[in-house]
Amino acid sequence: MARQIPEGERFFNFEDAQKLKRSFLLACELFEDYQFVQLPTLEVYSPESWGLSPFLIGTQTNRNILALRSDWTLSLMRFLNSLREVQLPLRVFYWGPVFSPKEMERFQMGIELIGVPFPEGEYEVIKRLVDYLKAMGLEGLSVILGHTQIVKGLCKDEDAKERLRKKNFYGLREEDPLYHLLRAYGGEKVLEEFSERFKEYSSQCEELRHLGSLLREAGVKVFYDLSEVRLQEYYTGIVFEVFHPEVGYPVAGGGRYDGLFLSSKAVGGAVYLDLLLEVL
Amino acid sequence: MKYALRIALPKGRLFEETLEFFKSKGILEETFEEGRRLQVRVGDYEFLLVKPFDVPVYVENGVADLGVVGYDVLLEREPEVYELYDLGIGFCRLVIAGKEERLEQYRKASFLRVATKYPKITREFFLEKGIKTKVIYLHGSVELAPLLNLSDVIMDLVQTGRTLKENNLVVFEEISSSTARLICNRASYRNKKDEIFSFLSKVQRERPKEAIQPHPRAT
Repeated sequence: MARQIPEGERFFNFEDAQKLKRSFLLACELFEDYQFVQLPTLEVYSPESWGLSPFLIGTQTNRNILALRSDWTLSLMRFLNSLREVQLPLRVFYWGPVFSPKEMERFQMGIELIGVPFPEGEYEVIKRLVDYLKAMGLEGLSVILGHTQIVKGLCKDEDAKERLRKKNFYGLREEDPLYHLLRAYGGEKVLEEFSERFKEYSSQCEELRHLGSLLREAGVKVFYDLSEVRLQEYYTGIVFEVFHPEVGYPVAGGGRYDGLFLSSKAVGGAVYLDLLLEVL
Repeated sequence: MKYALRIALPKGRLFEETLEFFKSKGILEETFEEGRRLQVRVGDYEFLLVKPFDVPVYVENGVADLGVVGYDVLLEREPEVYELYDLGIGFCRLVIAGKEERLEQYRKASFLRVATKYPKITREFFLEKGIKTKVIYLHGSVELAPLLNLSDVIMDLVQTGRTLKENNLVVFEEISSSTARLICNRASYRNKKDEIFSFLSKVQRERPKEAIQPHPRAT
């Protein structure tokens, strides 16, 4: 029989494996004040507590359905829920793969900060992730900020979200809020214009402006894009993505997800390591 | 001087219409021929002349910042790109077609052999209907397949319907319509924001009246 590599399977050559190793060691060093978590790769599937497209792999004798970990944040929440006592604020970092039927196996390094309100939580997560990327040798990074409440408030249906996801400007009239969401992309000026028009979102715009100026003071390049949509449903506040000039996808992303663990305030974000391998 | 934007253009069906469109919007002063040159530099833009199905490949991987491509190709390939704008040109339809006398058989069929350039769209279309298919993937002259009984029907792009007619084929069913779209690389959208948005605003400009042509929409 001919030897075949299944489609979607990826072998990391020694060089790439070395880069991944370095990414882990560097995370251990830079996030020393965070607790490292090691969570199960195999989880028992339950539809209500699951993220995007689960990677189901079989059943157990007791008829549990098993799935591979699809989202570190959700897995961490399940773990925290199993603890009898959690001291807040809690800082954790993780390193390892997540699985989905479409993309198979993706490596992530991420941090979660639980029990810290706005803006300290957002600031710390974004700043620390950008510092981590810089320590890996990446330059020219820029951070894009958006706000879940604005998108959720102005998008009536899935079609509208899909439009934002595809940045589809076609046929939008000025009366359509999507028109203004898509154009609200740039520096502080676009925020001002947007909050002028949509006064009901001025507090969200103020949050964005405040966080942006904190990050800029710390030397981070920040833009706003109010049309930014993240796939995960659990975000409740500011979301962010980090871009590198030579990579066509965000290299890191995350946001605020209050109320996912009990009623705690929480912010998290992850670096998408395998997308970075070619520029490291 | 370095170009501001690199734009992938589809050779063939959409090429001339796209350049006329760019000219009417003031993006180009003069159109140019689809010749042997694969890279054409005009002012701030560098155009790449590639096969239609390759346009999203160049854009997705960031070799080109923008691209013009038919919606049919986007449906088939589902590239990870932004779909900024519907240029409204190059209107055509994705249809199932076959020999007229086979229509009755097509309606009742639970298994079909379908020749097409669009295997993915074809599979999904029939999957939804619960019809099993054998998809026969061809690169061109798809109309030949049902004539020689290589397939029962074809799934193809139809602009005027002339090719179908000349080969004695009729449209059985329409899957979707298609027009040319302006697509954008996701990193370019971030890193070349000003250039992209200036291009987009030119595309959105009202056309001078005399340049407006009616859709060649065949009903």
